Amino acid sequence: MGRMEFGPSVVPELREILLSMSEARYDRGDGTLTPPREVPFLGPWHLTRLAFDPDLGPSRIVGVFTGAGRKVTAVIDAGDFADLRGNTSNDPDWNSSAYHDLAVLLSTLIQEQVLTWEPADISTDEIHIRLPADRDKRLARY
Amino acid sequence: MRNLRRAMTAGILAALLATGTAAGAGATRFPARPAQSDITPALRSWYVASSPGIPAAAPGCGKGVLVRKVVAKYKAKKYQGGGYRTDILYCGNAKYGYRHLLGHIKHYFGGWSNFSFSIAQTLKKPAGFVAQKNGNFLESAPILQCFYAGYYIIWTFFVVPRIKTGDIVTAYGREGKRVNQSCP
Repeated sequence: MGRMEFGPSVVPELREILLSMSEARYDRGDGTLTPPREVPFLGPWHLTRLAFDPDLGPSRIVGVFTGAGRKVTAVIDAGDFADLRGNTSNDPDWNSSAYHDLAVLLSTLIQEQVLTWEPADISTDEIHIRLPADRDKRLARY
Repeated sequence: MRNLRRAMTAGILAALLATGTAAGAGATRFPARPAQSDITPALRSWYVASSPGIPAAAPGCGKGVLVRKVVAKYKAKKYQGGGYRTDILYCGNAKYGYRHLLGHIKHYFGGWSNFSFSIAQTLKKPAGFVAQKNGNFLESAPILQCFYAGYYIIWTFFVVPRIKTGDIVTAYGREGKRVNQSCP
């Protein structure tokens, strides 16, 4: 049986989300919010590469993030997202964006596992992007 | 495991502290700190202690329970226009809701009760409030884990609700620095 593969739209959609600007407001401490200002989706990180793996092709996406002298490689396997890998679905239960489900889910998981960490606080150079339940299953094997 | 041990050996008192110039400085480091000119003093008045020993309602998202079963409703500050909205946590599935964030609860302190408390505090008074192109807010606030031994740890807690509906996609905490003095 061959490897599962991602659809062609996921990398461009995911790149568009990751490189987008968000609008942020902050509490002043008195319950009021500051006026909106633009901040990068990537926070303190930079995206230096996002593409299919040169050896495995569309069965794996590799993203390279750098920040504060750190370099972290995010690895995303199509087999971990079997039901969404085509990046053609829009589930109204949890996705109300202009993007397909897989791109939205991956952007959320990358934020969970990489972007909301300070670069200095990440202890590994390579991170497999997976759903929380799958992360725990893999860890349980060891 | 480390957090569980802490929870068992030290009295836990969760607290919310606003970001800013007092003890919360540096706690909310993502996405970017507000400029000093945006912050007013008197931040210690933000401190809200939890009620240890009062458990949150059981989620009840066992096998066979529908994805749209409501687990909890939270009072959430509106991004624009002032006032509050209601954000809902559904049982969901591996991609959103309680079943998604279940994997994050074990990496936080104090179990589901404290996790739910932290969601509530973050939504009620987010220190950082980001509207993102993927259709989700990213809201964050500092949560203090206080120890009777006379120190506390500043966590940054994140909640990700959908912009359009307020349904909670995910939530998780990040352990930050330890401060060697009693909780403020």
